[in-house]
This record gives sequence, C-alpha cells and structure tokens, in this order.
Amino acid sequence: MHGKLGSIGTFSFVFTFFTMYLFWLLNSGVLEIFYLSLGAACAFVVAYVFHTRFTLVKDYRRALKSLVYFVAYLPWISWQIILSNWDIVKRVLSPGMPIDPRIISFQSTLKSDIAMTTLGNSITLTPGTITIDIDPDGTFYVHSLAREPADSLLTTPPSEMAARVGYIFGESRKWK
Amino acid sequence: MVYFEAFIWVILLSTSLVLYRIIKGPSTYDRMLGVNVIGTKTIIILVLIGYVFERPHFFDIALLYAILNFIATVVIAKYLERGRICE
Amino acid sequence: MIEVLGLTLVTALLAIGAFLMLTAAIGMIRFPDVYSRMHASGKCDTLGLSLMLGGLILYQIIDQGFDLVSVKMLFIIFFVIFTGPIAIHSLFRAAIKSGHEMWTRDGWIQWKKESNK
Repeated sequence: MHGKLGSIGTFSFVFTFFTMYLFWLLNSGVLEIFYLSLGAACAFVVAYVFHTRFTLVKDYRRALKSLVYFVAYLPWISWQIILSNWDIVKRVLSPGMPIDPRIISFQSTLKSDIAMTTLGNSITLTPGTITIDIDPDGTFYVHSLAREPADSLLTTPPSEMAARVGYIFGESRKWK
Repeated sequence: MVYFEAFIWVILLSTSLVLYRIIKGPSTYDRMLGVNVIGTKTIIILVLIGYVFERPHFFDIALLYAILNFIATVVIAKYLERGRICE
Repeated sequence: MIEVLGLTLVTALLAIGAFLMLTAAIGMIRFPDVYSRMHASGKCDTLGLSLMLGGLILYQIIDQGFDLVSVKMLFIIFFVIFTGPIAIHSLFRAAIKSGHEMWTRDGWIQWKKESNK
C-alpha cells in the first residue's frame, strides 16, 4: 500500500505528519513534554499508515497554487450556499411547495479525482442540486429540485462552476 | 448565558419533528437520513449545553460526535448499497 | 457599546441558524420523497450549524478572548462543511442504486442510469 519513501512519498508523509500534529496540539493545548511526545508518536503512526491516502495531489508546487486558488474560490461558494439555503427555505415554507424533481446528466472536462470531488461537493451545496454519481470519464448525474437549477447547470456548456473548479486545479483556463 | 437555553428548546423541537419522520418511515433511507439530521442537531445541542453548564469538555464530545456521525452515515450507506462493508 | 453590538450579532446568528434547522426539520416532514428530503436536510442543516457555531465563536471571543475552544468549534464547522455533502451523496447513491422510487410531477418513477443517456 505505502511504497518506498521517494520524493513524493516523503512530501506526503511530512505533510500528513505535520497536519496531524497541528491537529493534536490545537485539540490538547497542553505544552508538557509527555503530551507533546505522545502526540508526535500518534501523528507518526497515523502518517505512516495513511499518508498515501491523505495526500491526494501528486505535485506539491501545483498543490500550493491550488490551495491559494481554492481560498479565492471560498467567497463565491459561500455566497452560493447562502443563495441555496434561501431557495430551499422558500420552497419548504411556501404552501404550494413548488418542486418539480428531475435528474439530469452533463459532461465535464475535469480529469483528476480531487477536481471531480470538489465539483461534486460544490454542486451539492449550491441551489437545488445534489450530485448522484460521477463516471470516470467526467459525466455528472445530478438530481435537481426544480427546472431552474437544472437549467443553470446546463445552459452554458462548461458551466461557470465547472470552469472555476477546473481553474483551481489547473485543468481549464480562466472563465470569461 | 441564560438565553442559550431557548435555542436548545428550538432545536429540540425540530429534533422531535425529525423523530416523526424516523418513526413513520416509510423506507430505510428516510430513517438513515433522519438519523444523520438528528446527529447534526446533537452537535449544536452539545455545544450549547457546554455553555449553559459552563463545562468546556462538551466541545470535545461535539467534535467527536461530528466525526462519528459522518462515519456512521457513510458506513451504513455503503452497507445498504453493496450488502457488505469490507472489500 | 461594542459588546452590545457583538451580543446582538451573536443572537442574530443563533436565531438564523436555529430557524434554518427548524426549516430543515419541516422540510423533512413536508417533502414527498426521500430525495427531496435530502435537499432540505443537506443544505439547511450544514449552513444552520455553521451559522450557530459562528455565533458561538463570536460570543467566546467577546467573552474570553481567542482561545482553543473557538479553534475547536472552527474545526467542527470545517468538518461539517466538508463531510456533510459526502454523507448526503453516499446515502443518495445507495437509495438510487437500490431502485428506490422517485417522486416527480408525473408520478413515481424508477431511475436507471442507462435510460437517461
């Protein structure tokens, strides 16, 4: 499962170790030598077993760039989350309950697993849509609560969200 | 704070509404979804209780509950989908 | 003055979060099938929890300054935002692969992946 500690193996091991150790420190908050070494031992074991699964990106220069772009993506997605909640609240509380569920599928150009995961999670958090399934070739199956959210995903062939997520992971050029 | 108790009561009210869905069903997936939603509400109830009783240890329990809630939902969904958990 | 303003903001955040959680529960009861219930619970619960915990973080900062308790609540927010969609998605896929019927305006249908392509 965990191969030789080559360059990428070393990077992912060190990254996992420090993430786990930071998590330990922030949760315990005790700065005694016994607890510090206990945390280091636990972080070492966890990092040794799981570092290949914890670090999804392969190229760490690209990863740093992706992280910066991802942070820049957060305000837009937060606004989308607020819009989606307003949408759901309107649909739940209006007496006629204006829902018209349907399932749509669309093709995206994303390649890597982490990009498709990010797009799937983003689709689930944005107005009226939930990702059902993703094929390995990038076909997304989406359950939509009404007609308008489905249309907003379908109309512009590489939809805005897919373009933004692809831009984060360096798989498409800047939207617009 | 005193008025945090009012929010605990509001969330308990919504928990009881979800409990109706869990008892009524009609399918296993409705019940699992209800358990997931109640788990989310439990997290916030634990944090509010930590403030009402002034005991910071409840925050650790809330963090653990968030992790357990996620893992339980995913594992049971996987079991319902494939009929087994380990490959 | 700043304290009164902060406490008002805390109360507003808590009230909006509690309202969203109540909406999620009402949606769980009102919606006709399990898939639309997932829409209600997956979104409103995530944002409701985040807003309530955000308000409590603000209260903690006003009350005692920035300490590890607020960091723990920040961890809970991050964890719920990143894992909530995945839990909903895995339940959804389990339900739709087992052939659970879906409500539409034209009646109950059973969705198959091939039939849509």
